[in-house]
Amino acid sequence: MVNPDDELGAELRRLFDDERLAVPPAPGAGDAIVSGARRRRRRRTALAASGGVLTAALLIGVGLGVVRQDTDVHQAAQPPVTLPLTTTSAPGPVVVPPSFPDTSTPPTLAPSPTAAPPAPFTTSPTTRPSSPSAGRTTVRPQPAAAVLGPTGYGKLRLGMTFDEAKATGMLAGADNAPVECTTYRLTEGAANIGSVTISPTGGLVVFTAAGARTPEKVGTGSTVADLRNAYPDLTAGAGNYSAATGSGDHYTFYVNSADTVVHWELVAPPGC
Amino acid sequence: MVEGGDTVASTAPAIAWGGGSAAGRGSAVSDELADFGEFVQASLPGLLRYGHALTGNPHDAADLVQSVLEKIGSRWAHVQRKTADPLAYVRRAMANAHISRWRRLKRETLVAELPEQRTPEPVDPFEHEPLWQALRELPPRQRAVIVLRYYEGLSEAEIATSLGVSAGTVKSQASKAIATLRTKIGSVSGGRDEW
Repeated sequence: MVNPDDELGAELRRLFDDERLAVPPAPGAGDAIVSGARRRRRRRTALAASGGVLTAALLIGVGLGVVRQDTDVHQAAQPPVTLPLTTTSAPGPVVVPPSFPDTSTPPTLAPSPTAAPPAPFTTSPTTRPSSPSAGRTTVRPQPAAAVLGPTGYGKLRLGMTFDEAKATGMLAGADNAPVECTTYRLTEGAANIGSVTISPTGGLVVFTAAGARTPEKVGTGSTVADLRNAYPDLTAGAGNYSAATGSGDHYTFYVNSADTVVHWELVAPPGC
Repeated sequence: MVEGGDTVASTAPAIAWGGGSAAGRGSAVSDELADFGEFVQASLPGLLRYGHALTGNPHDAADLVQSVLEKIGSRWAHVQRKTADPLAYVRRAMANAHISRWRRLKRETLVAELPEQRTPEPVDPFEHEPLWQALRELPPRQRAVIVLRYYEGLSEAEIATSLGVSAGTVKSQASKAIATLRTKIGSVSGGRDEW
């Protein structure tokens, strides 16, 4: 096509051939995609409606992950990959949820009662009616709006040792103390909190939110403008924003290309 | 097939879906989705890589791959009837989705706001590649043309068909892109580009 670009063309081919271009898929990414395809299909057949609004539902929980390279976190309590049919459980913090353009609409994520098998139009993230045994992503009713922060969630607090955290009874699969940073799911399911990360030295260092909101009512689906309103001291990073909780910890919000929060965490320094 | 995904990153558990003899063989839909699951498992690494080339960063690549695959998977039988090469079909869909998404978002640049950073971020592996940086700054359609040409090795006519534009458009977009890239790498590397 453009002729005098042989050298540049060769450079471009070399670049596109570079092994660093590889992006490792997260464990479970394939499942998440198939589940997403199924949901889409159901919606279409059930409603014959275009998927615009509902795509927001995909924001939560389903993740095609990019394996994060900055942490060395092991997953504990990860049940064998069973029942992939309807599980949409995201693989812990290694998730980049989808951000199709129309998802700039904040998902009207009811923070709590995600339990009712959703009527076709709810944007309840996790369940679909036909999950007879979705043990892995069980969504149970939460009594009140789920709030994560400024220091913890429920009885779980940042800085708790593994034993203290285990004693709350909220950790799933907490059989062995972590020998390195390890993520645990909660016994209540992953609707509000995707996972917590416990370091053998720092204790509970990260809460990874799912549907939970901060006390300032921001969370997945919030826009960067919302974040700024809630946290005037917001600092921007590459693809994320941080805000101090006021107690030495911080929230980190990961945003998609539409500047909408797709994922967030409550983090105690120094993390893992 | 259960352990079939040898080409897939070894950390990824085999998609239980792909288990050909698994229960739930009952309906055509589950067959279709099982087949799609196998396709996803086999093609995911390549598509993510392609998405990385197309979007310029791994996160957008993941977004793009996921949203496009979900759409395509939801009508998998239809897509298979329509094309003999679903993988190529997915790549074209990604190129188009990327272009239209950018058009809708009207983002000026990928690196518009990058104040300093406290938390460690994955390092862009191509941080010191002027050509990569220059590519990232190209408008999406120009970038797509370059990727289709030099990543996929498509001809001008094939690119035109893929993107649904005229050959003339492809030609002009390509030459604009090439000119920009030349200028940028010329200026970045400090040397003058003789032409």
